[in-house]
Amino acid sequence: MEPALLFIDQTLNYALKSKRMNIADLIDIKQKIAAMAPVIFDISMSLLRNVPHISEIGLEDIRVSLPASAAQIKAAYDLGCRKFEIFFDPAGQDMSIFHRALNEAGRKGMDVTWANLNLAEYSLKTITLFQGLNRNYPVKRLVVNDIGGRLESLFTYRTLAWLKDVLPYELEYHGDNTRGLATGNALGAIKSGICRIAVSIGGVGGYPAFEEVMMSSKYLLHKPLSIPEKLALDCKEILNRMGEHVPANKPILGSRIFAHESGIHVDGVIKKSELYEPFAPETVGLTRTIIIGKHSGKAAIQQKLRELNMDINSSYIPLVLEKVRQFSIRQKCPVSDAQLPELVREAIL
Amino acid sequence: MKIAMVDTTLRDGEQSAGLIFSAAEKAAIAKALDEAGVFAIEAGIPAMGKDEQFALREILAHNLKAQVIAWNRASREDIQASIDCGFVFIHISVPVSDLHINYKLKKSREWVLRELKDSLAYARSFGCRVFAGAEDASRADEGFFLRVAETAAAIGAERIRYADTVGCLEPFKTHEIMQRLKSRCALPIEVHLHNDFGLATANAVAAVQAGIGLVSVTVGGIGERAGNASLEQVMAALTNLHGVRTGIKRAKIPELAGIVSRACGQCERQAQ
Repeated sequence: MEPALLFIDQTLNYALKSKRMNIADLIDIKQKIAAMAPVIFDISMSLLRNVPHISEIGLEDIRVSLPASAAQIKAAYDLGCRKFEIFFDPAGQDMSIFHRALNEAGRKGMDVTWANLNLAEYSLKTITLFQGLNRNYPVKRLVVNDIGGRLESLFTYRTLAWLKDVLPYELEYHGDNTRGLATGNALGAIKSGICRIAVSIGGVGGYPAFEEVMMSSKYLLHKPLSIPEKLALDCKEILNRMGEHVPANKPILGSRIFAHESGIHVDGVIKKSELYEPFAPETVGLTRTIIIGKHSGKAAIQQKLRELNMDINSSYIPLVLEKVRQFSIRQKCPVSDAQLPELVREAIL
Repeated sequence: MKIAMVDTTLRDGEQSAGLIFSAAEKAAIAKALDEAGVFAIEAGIPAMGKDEQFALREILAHNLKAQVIAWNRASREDIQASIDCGFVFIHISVPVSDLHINYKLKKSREWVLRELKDSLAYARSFGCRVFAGAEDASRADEGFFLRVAETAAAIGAERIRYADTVGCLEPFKTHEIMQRLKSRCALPIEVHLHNDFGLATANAVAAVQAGIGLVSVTVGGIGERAGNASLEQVMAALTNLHGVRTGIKRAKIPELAGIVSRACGQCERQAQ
C-alpha cells in the first residue's frame, strides 16, 4: 500500500512569527489544522521559548527547529519537545559541536531530522557528506528545500527522484512560492515518492498552500486523501483569525471561485455543473452563485428570475438582458437581486 | 527561445464574475499591454452588444502593434459583429470535449467540425486572419483535438488554442500532453490555463518546456473562478528559470498592473 502523505505545517510558525496571537488562538488554529489531515507542526525554537504557557498547546505533534547546539537541544527537551529539526551546513560547520548535539538528542531517544539541503545549489560534496553522516548518527530524515523558489516542477520531480535513490534518508520537501510555482513543485515532490510535504494554510509565509496541495494531490494525482467537508471555510477562518486577506479568486478558498456570470458559463453550469467547475463547490464547503451583469446571457436571467420567484413571459428575456447589461455597465458592478425587479418592470413596460 | 504572450485580460479576465471594465479602462489597459510588449491582445466579444462594440472600436482606433483579437463563437452572427467593428484578427472557439459537445451543445463532433469550418471560411472571406480555439481540450479526446486543428489549418487558421477550461491539468500531465501534441498538431498550439488548483503558472512553464511557443495570460491572473495564468508570474518564471524571451518589457509591468488593479478595485468598491 502506498504510504500516506504527512503534511508539515508552517502556518503556526508564521502566526507566531508575524502575528501577536494569544495561546488560545494558537491552540484553536492548531486543532483546526490537525483535524484536516495527518500533520506535524514546525515551530522555531526562538519563537517557541517565548510563548507563555506553551505546553498548553500540546507539544507531541510539534517539531522544534533549531541550530545544531547541545544547549538549545537540551532547552527544547526541557520544554517538553521530542521532535527536532536541526539546521546545519555539513560542509561548513564544526562537526565536534554537531557531534555533541546529536549525542544529546540520541541519548534521549528523540526524533531528529536534518535540515537542510537546498535543491537549487547542492553539490556532490554535500551529498557525500550527508551520506557519510548517516553512518555516524541515528538520523533517518533530511529536509530538501528550494530557497527563493528558484526551481520548477519537472526539475523538482526528476532531482528528488534521483536524490531519493542516492541518499540514505527519508526525504521531506519544503517548497517556496516566490515565483508562483510552489504547488506544482510540491506535486513534483509527491510524484517522486516523497510523503512529507511542508505547507501552510493559504500559502502564508511563502509555502505551498495546504489546501491546493491537498486538493491537487487528491483530484489530479489521485492520491488517497480525505478532503475535510468544510476545507475552504476552515482555511478562511484560520486566515481571518490571523488577519490575512483572502482574495476572492484564491484557488479552493476564494468567495468568488464558484460565482458565474458569463452567459456561456451560466448556461453550462445550469445544464451540468462539471462543464465549468473542476469540482463541486460542496466538496470544500462552498456554494455556487449566479451573478448577473455585463457578461450575462439569457439563461442566467431566466435562472435568476426563477430563484427570485419572478415569472415573466420568455419573450421579454432579451429585453431584460439588455437592461441588465446597460445598467451594470453604468454602475460598474453587477445587478443585485434587489435591483433586478425594477429592471424587469422597465423592460416589460 | 522566444515565447509569444497572448493576453486575454480584456476578454477572459473581464469574465471574472462581477468585474466590468469601462470603455476608457479597456482602452487604457490595451495601450498599456501594447507598450509592455505582449504579442497579442484578446480584446473582447463584439457579439455582447453595442456597449462592448463601442469599447472595442476605441481599442482598434489606437492602431496597436500587437495583434488585437475578437473572441467569437462559431457563428456567423458573432463573426459579423467582429467584422463590423473592424477586427482583422478573429478567434473562433468551439468546445472539443465530448462532455461539452453532448451536454452543453447537445450536438455531435461532426456538427462542431462543420460549424467551425463554416465560420472560419466566413471570416476568411472578409480577408480576416483567423485562429481556432479548442474549449475544454484538456478533457477532450486528443484525436479529436488534432482533427479540429487539421480542419482549421485547411481553412487557413494560423494557430489553435488548447484550453484547460476548468484548470484540471498538472505540470507533468501538461508536459506529457504537449510533447505528444506539438509534433502531431497541424497548427502551432497556444496554451490557455486556469488556476483552479493553483497550478496555472507551473503548467505554463511545463508547456513551454515541452516546446509550446504561445501562452495565454491575464494581468494579475484575473479571470473566471480562480483566474488564469498570470502574465507577471509566467514572465518571471520563464525568464528567471529558463532564460526564455517573452518580449515583455519588465519596466512597463508596474504601470500595467496598476491600471488593471485600479480598474478591478473600483469595481469591487462599487459592489460594496
